[in-house]
Amino acid sequence: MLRLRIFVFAGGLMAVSVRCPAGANPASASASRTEAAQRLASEVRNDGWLVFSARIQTPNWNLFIMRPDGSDRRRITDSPEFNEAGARFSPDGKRLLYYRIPASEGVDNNTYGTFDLVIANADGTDPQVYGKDYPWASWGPDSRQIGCLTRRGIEVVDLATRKLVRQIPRRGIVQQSIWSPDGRWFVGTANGLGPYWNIGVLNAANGEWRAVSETDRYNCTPDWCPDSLHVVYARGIIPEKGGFAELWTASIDGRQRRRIYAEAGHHIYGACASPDGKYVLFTRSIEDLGRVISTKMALICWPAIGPDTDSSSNVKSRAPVRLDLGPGWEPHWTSADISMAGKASQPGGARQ
Amino acid sequence: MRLWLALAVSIFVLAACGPKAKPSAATAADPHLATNGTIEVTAKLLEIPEGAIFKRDLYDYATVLKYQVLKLYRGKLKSNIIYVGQYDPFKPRKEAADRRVPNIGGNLRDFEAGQVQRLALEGPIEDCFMGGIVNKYFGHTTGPIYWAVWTDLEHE
Repeated sequence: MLRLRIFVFAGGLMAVSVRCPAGANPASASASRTEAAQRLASEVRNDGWLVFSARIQTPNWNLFIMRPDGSDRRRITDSPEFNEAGARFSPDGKRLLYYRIPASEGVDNNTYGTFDLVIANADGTDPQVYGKDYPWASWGPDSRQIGCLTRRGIEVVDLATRKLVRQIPRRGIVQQSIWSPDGRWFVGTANGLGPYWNIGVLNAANGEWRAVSETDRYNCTPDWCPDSLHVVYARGIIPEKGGFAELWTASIDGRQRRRIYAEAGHHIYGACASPDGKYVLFTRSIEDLGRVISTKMALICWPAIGPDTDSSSNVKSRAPVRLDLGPGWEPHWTSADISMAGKASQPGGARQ
Repeated sequence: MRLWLALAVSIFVLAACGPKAKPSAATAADPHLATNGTIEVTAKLLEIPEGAIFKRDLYDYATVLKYQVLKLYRGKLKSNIIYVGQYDPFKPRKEAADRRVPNIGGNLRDFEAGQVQRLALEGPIEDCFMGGIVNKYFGHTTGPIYWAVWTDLEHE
């Protein structure tokens, strides 16, 4: 028997999951999952654009944009001497920040933000190289400032003048820092909250901070949910015990956390909630990153809270329908219409 | 005569195949120790906590190790028990430097509890390293964590 569950929340389709109990016809279950994935694709097809890094037909990493269902993929950078990575759309959807890394260096989950910052139009045109003085940059809520993570602290920089606006103690945050959509918080991968590196949330006004992840394991690649009250992150492993990194969410008070997605055989990193919070993107990797070797991207509906979505549930007990998006790393989502942005500015870069 | 010759050859062979001479006080001549960091010590590595050193091919980290200082050559310390961050501790020190952490080194091959090492240190670690740190002493000490710039083995 095959059971299809549909969770309806706030008047919209919230999540679709398929359960296939023992004895079910595997072929039938597979067909239903395919149909559910097709429905998911049609839901998101016209809901903005994704940007991501990938090695597709080139030895180096380039930036691509595509529709959230994986269609209409276009390469927007074409520089054989560099890898481009860590791309994020501005909140207004008009611009893009990313890092440019010498091709000889490769792309590393833990260091990409220490290379040359580039600010471009959302379609990749008119790239402006800001250089190495802007590590781990993320957009401020007004799209006119960026928050950079330096040894000195978190530095808020005005993009137009490139001047320092203010500096905030970084506490233990050491990489992958992201400014919250409401401008009140920073989240990042941090030391000093436990014996391992954890996810820390920092109050931008008073410098108070706390762990929001568990502190008895390695955690990384955090990002914000649109409500600025929750974060998503990769709940990592304990090296001596093995396992795979999972996609989790936590409230910023650190009191609530739960699994969003996990998969036997793959580490899940780089979660990114959709602008409306209904879906979540992520990167799937066989290797435990570090240095990025070969990764794929996928999308699921944001799962409704259920009785078996806590940390003790079996990974396979309720696998949400996953829409595979092909090779790539660290996708980011905007609801803006980038194709229009491209037409309004200079001609776009190389396209496939 | 043949017996004496055989005995001499045996002694030579045994000497050649025996344990190699370990680095010793000669490390004091290593110029890197005197020219790196702001603190230089000879210290005993007291222990390696479980899980503090692990090898993952694709990511780099620092781990915090506990030392007893036996001799202070330069700089100041508040205690003879110090905590020191070692970058990528699963690598020989001479192979540990990379683009992210370019200026570390030494002749130490592996970390083993009980070793007496000569270290050039900088501190605190927060000012020296922006990356993941394994600190198995978290919650047990509030003192500074120093950063190992150069690590030579004095003796096992």
